[in-house]
Amino acid sequence: MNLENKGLRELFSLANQIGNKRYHKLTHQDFEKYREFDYWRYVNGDYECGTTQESRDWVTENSDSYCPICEQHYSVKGGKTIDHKLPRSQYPWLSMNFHNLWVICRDCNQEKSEMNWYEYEHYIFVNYHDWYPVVKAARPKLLLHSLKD
Amino acid sequence: MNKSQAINLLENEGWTKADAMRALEVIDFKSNPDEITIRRATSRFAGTELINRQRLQASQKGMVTKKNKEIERTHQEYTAKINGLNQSYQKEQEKYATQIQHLSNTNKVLETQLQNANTQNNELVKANQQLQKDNKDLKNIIDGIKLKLTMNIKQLLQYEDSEIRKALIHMFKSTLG
Repeated sequence: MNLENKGLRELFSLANQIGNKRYHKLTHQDFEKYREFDYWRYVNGDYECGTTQESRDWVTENSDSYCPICEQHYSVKGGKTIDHKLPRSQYPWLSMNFHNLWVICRDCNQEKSEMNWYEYEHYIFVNYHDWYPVVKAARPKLLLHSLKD
Repeated sequence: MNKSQAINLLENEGWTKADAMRALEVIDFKSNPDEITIRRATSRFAGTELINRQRLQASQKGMVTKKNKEIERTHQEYTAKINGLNQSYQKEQEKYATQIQHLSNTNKVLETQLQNANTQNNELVKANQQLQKDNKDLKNIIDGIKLKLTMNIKQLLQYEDSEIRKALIHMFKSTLG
């Protein structure tokens, strides 16, 4: 592949293609780890059966009345949700790692969707510059560093 | 004459002891009977009666002989059957021993294959785990570079030169892709 004639935009696009590619195999064990969170969060692991007391207690202990990102009251932003800083669909082994969880409002969670961490920081920096310091402070440094182990 | 003497007398004349005893049952030996009394009492067992008894005895002996031969034949038949069964049992046993040996060999081969498959699987699981991390690490490095670039550009955009600003805005846009 000739990279010399490509612009920065194309080079980033190429890097993204590989970065977003899941060339590893998502194994049965990965799926089990992915589901561990559901069993902790939802009764019988089923979203429709409601949340478990244990996970509700954790949410209470790890949040106040305002979303740490948008600083809006949860009641006007769709309520509290637990987000995986590093998405569990891509980091199944971190599905039940509490360093990877934080409570944010539903709207912010939906906007973050499946973004990787720096992708999300970049998104916030460009689109919601004022929120960037909070998001940067929430960066899961240890977990990101553990990828190099 | 007492009973023993009377029995001896009859045995000497070819009677069997059992026949003699049976014939002398009617005699009261307390009265010390003489030979005439004894012969009179035993005469009913002589002659036709004796011949009939001897014929009966011969017939019984014949039956016994026949039965013995039959038993002997049956014994031989069963011995042959048992020998046959023993032989076929031995053959079966040898056949099963061969099969067991064969299965045991196959089992060893399968065990080795399983061990190899397990080793390969473990290697693949490790490689897969490493790939998962590497993939995400690469993605994060690229995103980190983009972020850093965006932040630096934003900082540089504070300066006035319009040509440089244009170039920087172009560069900034290229980080958004």
